[in-house]
Amino acid sequence: MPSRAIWVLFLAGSLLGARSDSRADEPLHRRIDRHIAEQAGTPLAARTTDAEFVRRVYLDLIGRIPSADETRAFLAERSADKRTALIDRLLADDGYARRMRDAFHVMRMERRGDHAEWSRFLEESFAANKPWNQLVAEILKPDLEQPAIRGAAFFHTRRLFTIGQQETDFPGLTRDVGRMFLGIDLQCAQCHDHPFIDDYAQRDFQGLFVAFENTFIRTDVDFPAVGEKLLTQPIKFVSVFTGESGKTGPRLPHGVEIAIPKLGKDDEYVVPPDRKTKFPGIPKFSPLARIAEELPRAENPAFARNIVNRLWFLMLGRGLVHPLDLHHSGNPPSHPELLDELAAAFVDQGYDMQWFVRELALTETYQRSSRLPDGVDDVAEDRFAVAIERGLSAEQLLQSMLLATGERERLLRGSPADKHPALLEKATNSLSGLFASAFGNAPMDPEDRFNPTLRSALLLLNDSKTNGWLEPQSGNLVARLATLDDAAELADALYLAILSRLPTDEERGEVAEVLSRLAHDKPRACRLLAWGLLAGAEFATNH
Amino acid sequence: MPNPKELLARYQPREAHVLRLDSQVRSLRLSPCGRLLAAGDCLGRIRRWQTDDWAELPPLAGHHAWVDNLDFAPGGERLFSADSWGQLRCCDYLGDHPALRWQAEQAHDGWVRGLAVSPDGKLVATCGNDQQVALWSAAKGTLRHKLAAHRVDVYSVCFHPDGRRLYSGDFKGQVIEWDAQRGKQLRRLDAGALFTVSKIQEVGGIRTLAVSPDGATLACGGTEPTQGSNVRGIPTVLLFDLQTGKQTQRLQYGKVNDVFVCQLAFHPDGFFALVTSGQPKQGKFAYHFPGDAQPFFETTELPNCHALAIDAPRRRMAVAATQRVAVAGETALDENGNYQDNSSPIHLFELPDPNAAV
Amino acid sequence: MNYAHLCKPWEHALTRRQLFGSLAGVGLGAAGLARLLQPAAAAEIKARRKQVLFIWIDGGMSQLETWDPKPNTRFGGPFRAIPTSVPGIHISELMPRTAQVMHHLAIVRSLHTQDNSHSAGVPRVQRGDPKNRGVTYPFMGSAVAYWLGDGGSGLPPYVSIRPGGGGFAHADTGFLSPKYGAVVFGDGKPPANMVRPKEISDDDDELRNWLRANAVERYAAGRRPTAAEASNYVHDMARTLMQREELFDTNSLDRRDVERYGSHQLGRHLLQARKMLEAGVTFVKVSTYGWDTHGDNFNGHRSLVPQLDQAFAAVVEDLADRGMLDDVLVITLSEFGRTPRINGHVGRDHWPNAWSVAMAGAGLQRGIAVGHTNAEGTDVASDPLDIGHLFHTWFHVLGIDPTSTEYHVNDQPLPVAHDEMHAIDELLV
Repeated sequence: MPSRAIWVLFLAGSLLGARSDSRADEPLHRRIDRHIAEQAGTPLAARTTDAEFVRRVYLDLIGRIPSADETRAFLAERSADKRTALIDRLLADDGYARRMRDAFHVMRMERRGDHAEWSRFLEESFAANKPWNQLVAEILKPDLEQPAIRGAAFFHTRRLFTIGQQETDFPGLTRDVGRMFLGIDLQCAQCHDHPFIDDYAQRDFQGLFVAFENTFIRTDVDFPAVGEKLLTQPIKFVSVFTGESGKTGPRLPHGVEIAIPKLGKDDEYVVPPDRKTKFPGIPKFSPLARIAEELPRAENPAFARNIVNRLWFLMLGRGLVHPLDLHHSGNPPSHPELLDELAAAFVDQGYDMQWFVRELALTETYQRSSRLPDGVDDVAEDRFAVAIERGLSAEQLLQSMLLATGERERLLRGSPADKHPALLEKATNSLSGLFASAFGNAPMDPEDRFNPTLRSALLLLNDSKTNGWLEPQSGNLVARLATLDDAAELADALYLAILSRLPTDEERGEVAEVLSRLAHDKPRACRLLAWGLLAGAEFATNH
Repeated sequence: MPNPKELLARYQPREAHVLRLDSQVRSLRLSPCGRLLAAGDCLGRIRRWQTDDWAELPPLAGHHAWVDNLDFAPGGERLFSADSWGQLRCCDYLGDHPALRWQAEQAHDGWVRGLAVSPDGKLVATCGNDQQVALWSAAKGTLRHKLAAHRVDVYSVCFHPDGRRLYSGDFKGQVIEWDAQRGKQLRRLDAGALFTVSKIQEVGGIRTLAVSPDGATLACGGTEPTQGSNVRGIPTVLLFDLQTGKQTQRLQYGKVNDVFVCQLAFHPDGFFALVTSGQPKQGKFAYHFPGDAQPFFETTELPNCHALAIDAPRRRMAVAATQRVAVAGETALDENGNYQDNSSPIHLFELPDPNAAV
Repeated sequence: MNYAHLCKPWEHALTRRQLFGSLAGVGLGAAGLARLLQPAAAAEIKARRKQVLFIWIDGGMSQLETWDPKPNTRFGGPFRAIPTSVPGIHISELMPRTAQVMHHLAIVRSLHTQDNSHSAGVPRVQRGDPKNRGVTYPFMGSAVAYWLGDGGSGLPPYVSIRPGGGGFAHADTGFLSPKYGAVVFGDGKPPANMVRPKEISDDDDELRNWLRANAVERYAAGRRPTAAEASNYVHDMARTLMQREELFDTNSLDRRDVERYGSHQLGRHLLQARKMLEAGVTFVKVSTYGWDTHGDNFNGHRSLVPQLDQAFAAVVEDLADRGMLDDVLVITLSEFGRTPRINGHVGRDHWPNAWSVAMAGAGLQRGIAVGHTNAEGTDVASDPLDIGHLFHTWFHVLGIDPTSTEYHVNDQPLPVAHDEMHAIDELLV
């Protein structure tokens, strides 16, 4: 089939090209900048100011804005490599694993719900900087014998879960494996070769489907666990368009079919089922194990391309391939050679996530301002010539609001430092639902664009909890501001706490004006000033 | 009071025959003369069978839609019937073409829900969705009284054995005791437990009313509803002491899937028989003595029983149920491609000979 | 396993040119898909300013006890049919008030839809999408909000009034941006946080919003406009809505109105809906629950239908009296009808095969009944119509030409309504 050939050439050719081009001695971040600059076709935005940078990198690497003190310290720092030093410090911070946990949880589960073991699996994986191929293998074939990683099964069980008369959504699980780990959305290829995308054939969907349709939620254990039934026959399918039929065993898209072994009746199970204990048995042939083996490796080029594209999106606000799950020859990357190089370098580096994130953070591209160059009205996002503004996730927003308003400090006051992470986790857990419902998307809706909602505005306007954080209470932001006599000093403290930058003269003037208008009630003035900044677009975006 | 074993030896029903129908039945009566079984169906017909050979006679036409109510005059002279379009009819009932004696085309505006004939055979009481209770002369169909004290649909009526008092029960569980001769309200009894509001739906109602042969007890049957739409509730009978007007017993028959006591009727020996219908396949047929905590006979063999008839002198009973295998699938067609209907098989029972050795 | 029901061949009919042509518009930031609408078409659609009252009867209302009675037949049930203000059209006796406004209404009695389960029927009927196209279509309210906007009212374009909890129905938007989701008035009450805390005075509120607007303006200077615009959009809408307290203050309803609409929940909600339409909300959905009468169907409908009858007739009458019916499309809809066969629980079950829907206004034909079922109501006897035909018709009268208007989702151009179907001619003037 010609389309198949095109796909293979497309991948193989570009990979080869990438190799010949790559200069291993040149750090990846330099190579990235070269590609972006060469293909910008438009003036590049200026480098971020230190204030812009410090806010952005805190949000991206540890999931919150910097405190006023952290910002001041960074602004005061004089060393030439202070940005690199900050990146390294943040990557070493405990907050990095939590930030990646949150970002990957939202990306992988798309707000379907959470589970403590899944959350722990993600956080510990990122804390240990587990190679991406290993992490994915652990998700694809969860090992319930290892308590530390068995929570990975939640990826499956949450999708296999049904309510009432619902049918188990095996096609949905299959589709998500393609989307999340390969960057291909095979949904339309379920019943026929994809109508618009020549690269997606029905066989590709069915080859994954046969493995995931064979799974079920284990009910004999009290943690997320997925079991597999015996698979003895390939799946048959018929195109609803052409009537052509086919059959396939487990097979990765564009991969080689995995042979289903012929086993005797007594030889099918490693451990036979036991009805009394509800133990479902462990078949000798595990399609999940085979997929977990074959999917996350270099021979499957889509695997690395997907993750580098997603990390690129995470740091830069848009994928080189966008939408993130539509990698195919009809939707080419904005920078084809760059994507090839990124994927190749990532594989060479042993699927090292932290290394890759660090390289991205070091680029000039990442460190570019979101302000348009002079005389330019708009620039296509896919040139990466001007930083793309990204909405803060519900998680980033919650952490940042707690910090900015001083509520975080108030919660932690009087407790020993070693208790702080647990206290903070507890507080954020109790608020995460409120924030996710106002600032997150609906379940199964990918969060890949800034989407403020009426609900988020109402929460900021009227919610008693968030407004309560602006009531002066011992040591919180408003109380502290109210003790400052000098209007300019107050303005500085206000802007550093909330927007992680110093105010402009115009902004200082505005603060002074409000203070004088409400001179009789300074806490009130401070409360309103703080609210005006918290509810604005600058706070809500990573710009 | 005899022990349960003795009671069963006297009264345990034995199925003698089943009449298979092609339609659903709403009401059922055995004639006092012992010669006829009559059933009102959903197609405006009164179906008739001779009790000696169970041969069917031509149905009586003239009604519309649902014939929910049938009763014979106590002496067996006439058959009274009413339908869901408000028509009340009085006719002879034997032979191929029995004569119509009288009819009231609009006895009620809409659905007639209850009908009873006084013990002396002189009065016919009806009630309906027009919130009215009406009293008619049995002989000529002259309207004697329109009684308008209920505020909602009136679901059931019955006479006291003394013939002077009439009871009507409504959708919201209110019972009114009337002076049947003068058409005056005497008192109210509260069976409100047989009603509830679920979401925006009002659910329940007194589906059946009867007074014990000794005149001491009023039985109100229905359900204690727990939800509307796909109605659920526990089949319930509330017994009232007619001396004091107080509720004396709350009797329940099963779980929330069993739902309605559809009909109850007293046997002259003092117990009442009842049938229930709930979610598809749920149905009971039971006997119960007032004062007892439990029924002394109960069977769940018959699915979805809607109507009951007793001929005590001939030790005969009839129950209209629903065919056991409900039509599968909501769009199911039969082998000829026809849309399938449900039907109400009528189960005929014989009671043992009381003189037989116990 | 057969998944043939998931796709339609129409997808193949689109050319590669359309596909790649559409790619140019993909991938915007804050404005999301809204930008994909060709500006000229959008302006034209919005200029006509149509509105919708969408009455959702959840669980499946029986056509036999309402719009398509079959009195005195095998499955007809106990009720009579009554004449209406349009000679020749009869409806159930449970709807006497509606019978008097029949000259405003159009009934379709020949619906044949695809799903007989709630879980499939509820979303599919409201998405107007009888076949799965591999993407999730918006509910009608979100679609209309997207195409028609707020009409300059500053109010949320899609408001839903329903029993139970309130909040926001983002899932309704399908592939559209969450901002086209419904603002839900649970039990007629506004969503959480609609009312400003007492501690914040009017002056404070003015001041804080002035500060916010200033901050956004300064932020926007020199940047792409979308983030600031999106932020202002939701804040402005929130404040507009907060200032229209009369829209959700159920204590201030006119007593005579309450009497006409009914003091029951559905009556109050439809009265509130009329006020929202008068205030300029583009799409008001009123939901009523509990119509899944598998048991005791006839007493159930005897209790339920008169509530709908009273409130529906009153709102149609009011819209007509105010001259609004020319521009307000009124729809009553369930996920399916109910079986002719009466089950052992004297109930009716799910029945997508042959059922009815009623509508009025926005230039639809008045006083007609389109299509018919056979004598016993067990099948459609005229050309069967699916929900796609209705969506074609409805979009057409709203000024959204379903034959030329398209969404663009990822790399797919998508018709607004099923492109193998068409508007129902008899309903169009």
